[in-house]
Amino acid sequence: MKLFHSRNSSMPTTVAVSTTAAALIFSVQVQAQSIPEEEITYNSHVAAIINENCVVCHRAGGIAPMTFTSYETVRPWAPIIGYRVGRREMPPYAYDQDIGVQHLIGDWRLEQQDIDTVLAWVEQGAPLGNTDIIPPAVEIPSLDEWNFTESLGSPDLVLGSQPIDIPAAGNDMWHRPYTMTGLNDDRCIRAMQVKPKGASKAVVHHANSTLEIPNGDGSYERFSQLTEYAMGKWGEMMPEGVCRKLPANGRIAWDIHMYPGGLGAMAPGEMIEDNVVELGIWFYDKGYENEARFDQDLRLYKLGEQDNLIIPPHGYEMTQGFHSFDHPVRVDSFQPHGHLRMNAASLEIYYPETGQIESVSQVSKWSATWHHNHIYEPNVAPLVPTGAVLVIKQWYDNTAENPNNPDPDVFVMGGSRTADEMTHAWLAMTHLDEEGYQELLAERLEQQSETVTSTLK
Amino acid sequence: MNSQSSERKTSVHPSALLLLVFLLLTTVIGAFAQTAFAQTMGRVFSAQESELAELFDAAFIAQAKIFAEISAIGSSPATQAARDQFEQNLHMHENMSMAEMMAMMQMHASMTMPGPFDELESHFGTQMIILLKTRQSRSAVLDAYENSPLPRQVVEVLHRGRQFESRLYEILADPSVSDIPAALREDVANYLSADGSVPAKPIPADLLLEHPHAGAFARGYPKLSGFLWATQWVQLATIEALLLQAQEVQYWGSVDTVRARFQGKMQGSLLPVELPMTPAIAPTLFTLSPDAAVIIDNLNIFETVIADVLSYPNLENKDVATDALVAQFTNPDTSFASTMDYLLFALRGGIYNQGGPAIGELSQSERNRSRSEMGMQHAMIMSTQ
Repeated sequence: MKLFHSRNSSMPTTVAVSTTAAALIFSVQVQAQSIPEEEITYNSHVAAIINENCVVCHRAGGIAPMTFTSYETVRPWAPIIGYRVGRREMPPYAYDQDIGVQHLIGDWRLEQQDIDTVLAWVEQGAPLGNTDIIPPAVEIPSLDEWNFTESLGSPDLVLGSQPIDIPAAGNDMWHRPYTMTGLNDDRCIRAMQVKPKGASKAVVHHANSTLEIPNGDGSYERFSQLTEYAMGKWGEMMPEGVCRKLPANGRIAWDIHMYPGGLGAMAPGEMIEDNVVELGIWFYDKGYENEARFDQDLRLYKLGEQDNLIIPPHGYEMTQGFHSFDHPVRVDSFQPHGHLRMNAASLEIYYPETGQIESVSQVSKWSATWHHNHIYEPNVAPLVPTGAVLVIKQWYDNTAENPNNPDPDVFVMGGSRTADEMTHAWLAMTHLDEEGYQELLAERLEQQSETVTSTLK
Repeated sequence: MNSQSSERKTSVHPSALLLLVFLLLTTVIGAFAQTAFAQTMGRVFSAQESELAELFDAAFIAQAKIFAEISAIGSSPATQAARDQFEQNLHMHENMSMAEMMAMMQMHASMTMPGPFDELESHFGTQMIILLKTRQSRSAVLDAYENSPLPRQVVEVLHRGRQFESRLYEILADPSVSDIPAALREDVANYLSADGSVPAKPIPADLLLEHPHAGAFARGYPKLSGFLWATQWVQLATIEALLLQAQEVQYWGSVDTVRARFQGKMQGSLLPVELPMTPAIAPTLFTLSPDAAVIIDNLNIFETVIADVLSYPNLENKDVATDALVAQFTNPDTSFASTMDYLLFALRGGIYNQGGPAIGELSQSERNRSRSEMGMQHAMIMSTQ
């Protein structure tokens, strides 16, 4: 049921209109919890939500297929906006509510109140509202801007891959250049973002960067994984008190996978010239490396051997990985990785001494379109005691029920191509010692105590 | 003040008398038209929006003439060479990979490609512009399909569609109709009750995009397809304007805006390059009566698909193909698209590309990716390592 305004009246009346459209569209479970009863309009209520949460992608040249920068472009999409927002499919940040850690940095999920507002607006016929009310202006960075500029300023160091010209449409390509960092001193990284430059966004599937350091004989050896980028990834932030080290005199070994034309975005012309992927790095101040007590690293954690992964036609698969440490750790971020058939992932901690399992993160509607790196807020990032086991699970659906599945009739094997599958996760881990672990535990307990006390007051 | 009010109540202005006589006459004529010649616009809409009513009558004739013209061009010996070349181009398109098609689209993104019959199209287009600006006689409207090359079954579907749309405009224009959704439900039920109706469920997009002759109309006749879609746009945009006018004071005069925009299109600005669909151009109708919205879209898709067949070069037995389409489009038991698929298909065509919004401003395309590129979602995935 919705209200439809009476003829020639600016006030809503009681002319009740039952719309099959609403019934059809909202036959799915929409998780509206408290639909506001007042009239909800675009100008007064919804524009602010869309501008703040959607326009960053839904703008001219953005990664989204269409723009949502005005009522004229938003109104026709209202039924679909309601459907997607109500199911928490948009904004695209798949992460289960009410399971595990919920306080995340860079979390795109809408507040329930905003979801309810959008749903009420759609239910009421998606009205524009008073034209004298001007919705708040959209203040978004340019498409080439760095994501952390607002909070951290421009990157301290920008490292670009070797420019190459590639066709705007074609087959998979891989590019593996090196870039010298030019750093003369060891530094601790505060944040990182990998960003295809300009039109390169239309072709770059993923870009991995590995840090290599000279080994004394003129050659280089691997130091650590630096970062990983896949379409939709925002960036990485390192919490205070830890050091993700970028050592002096190193170089970046790139592994860039391009699929010209395959991303669906338009690249102008026949060739994309000077295709470059950039790595922006923000450092902690000099001297911080002496203050930081613990090292943090980013590593790939396997869920079994990828070469053994076989998903039968019209079948399912589930993989598990178990990892434990001989020292306590803090899990700072979790980024599951797979391709077209992967549709869910989770991270748990198993405590052998008690036999208990604790859920950390669950992503029941995982999609390879959005490779989110779930960064836990430092005061809730899971603390893992020595000997406890990280349990990573990933699920695969090779049936026709999987909307991302291009061909349910084929066997899918582990491999690098888009059509293959992968089974690993990227975790950023702070490596603690027993003393540090106990200190962090004590801090948590104190926080909880303060929270309880303030609640009782 | 009171006496003036009293006079107003008791005296009858001469113009009101004239209107009363007019309404009585049109009621009688209208009743006759409803039974025999219901394809002319209804009396209330004609009285309230006379210029648009005349335009819609002219558009009905224009649509019939477009079908006739592409048939004539397609059978003229003078166009044989152009048809052969066009046929080759269509075959090349059919065999293109998605990547090749994208590369070609990128090359031509900023160009308006002339059709193979450009000169003939331009000449005929001029006639259409004049026709759409001219008041048409009742007999001209009624005889629009008299000598049509279209099979009788096709014409019947078009006539029934015209009846449905005509009644819909009556409902929206009539201030005495207080319960618009109920009136629309009745209109839909009435329309669906007879043979030759398209269903009130969404025809799958494949019927427009993937049928054996798909795209021939737009590629062969970019100007005429633009004209046909412009006439469909103005009808949809009028629906949106009427519905919004009925809701809020701030939308009063919207119908005039729509008419002015259509006149602008006739002068060459923003002819649609995609088939206009209700969710994009008349979203309020979709919200209010999805059944009515879907019927209109199915009818408009039907017109384009018929035009595809007529446009396809060197095609034998076009009647067989159009008869098959009639069977498909009027089969109530065919498989239908889901509401979500229908909405996505309609909106991915682009609001701007479908002619632009009825009300409000949109000065450039809101699409970052085209409808055909949206089919590449499976490739929008990346691998690593």
